[in-house]
Amino acid sequence: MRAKFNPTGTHIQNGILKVRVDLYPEPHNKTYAMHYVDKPVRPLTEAEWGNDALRALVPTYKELNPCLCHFINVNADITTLQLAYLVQHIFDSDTQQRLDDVLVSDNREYRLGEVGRIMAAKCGAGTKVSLTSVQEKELITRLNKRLASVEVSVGD
Amino acid sequence: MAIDVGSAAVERSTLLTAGYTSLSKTNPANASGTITAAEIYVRNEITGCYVGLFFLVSGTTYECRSSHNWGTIAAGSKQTVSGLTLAVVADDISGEYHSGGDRLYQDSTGGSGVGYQIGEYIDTPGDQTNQEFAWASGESSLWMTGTEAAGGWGGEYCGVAVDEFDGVTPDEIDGV
Repeated sequence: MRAKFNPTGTHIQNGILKVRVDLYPEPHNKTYAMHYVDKPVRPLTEAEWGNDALRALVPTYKELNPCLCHFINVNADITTLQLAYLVQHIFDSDTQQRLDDVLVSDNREYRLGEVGRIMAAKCGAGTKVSLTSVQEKELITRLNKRLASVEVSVGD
Repeated sequence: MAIDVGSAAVERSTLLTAGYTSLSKTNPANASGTITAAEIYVRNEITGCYVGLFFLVSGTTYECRSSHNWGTIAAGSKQTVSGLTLAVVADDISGEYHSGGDRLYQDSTGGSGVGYQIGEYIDTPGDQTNQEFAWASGESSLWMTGTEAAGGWGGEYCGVAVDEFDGVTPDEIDGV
């Protein structure tokens, strides 16, 4: 699988800085088929959504969705190398294998409960920051710019 | 005991557009503790998504107990989030808000009711929303699970919500 930093999730919760890392399956993973989906080339109209025949006329393209969005607590001065190392540590081979097995389960209680249990101890650690809302926005902007390139192969 | 809140994240018959704080009464929390993971299903990509837990203040006014900024959510497959530490108390209900993009799947029948209020009332615990329950029997495609607090812990420790403890070690918690 591949893990990629997603800047849309960066936020501060109760003084702790959180970043989002999306986990993307690869073709040999069990979760790949369910997340390699057809998407319309343009937003569908209400009429197209309500009519399968009309919907089928709109061209589509293939896109890979993440199989998991995971939030990690980090320090404000985290570097790209540190985040990449942390992500590889979090999504080690055993964890990635367990997630791939669990996320394809049809039993939603089991599936989500297991995901929560597997990942609960893998949320990183960050020291609290005390900032004004303006400073928070500046920090998030800086961090997103700094970490934008973080994308690593994990687990396999 | 495992905690669960909300309804299955599946394709449904109707949709919630952007810009509304929407609460779903279906399957309120069965215990108190911490929500650790969630699933959602959307029609087209949505942006600025928050998910959270709410409790009834009075009438149709609900207060946000805890929430999480998920960000942008992809469409076309069930999306799962982990790494959450959301305080939940028995009987809390699920809530959602997204600022942009398209729609969250909902049904107008089959559940215990879905409410709405235009605007964002979820980003800060303590936010209150006055919900109009236009659908008395609807449900949303948002499902959350977690773990019950030991000893019937009511989502707080020494008066501090559990999600205040993000990144804090047990030894540090003892010092609160």
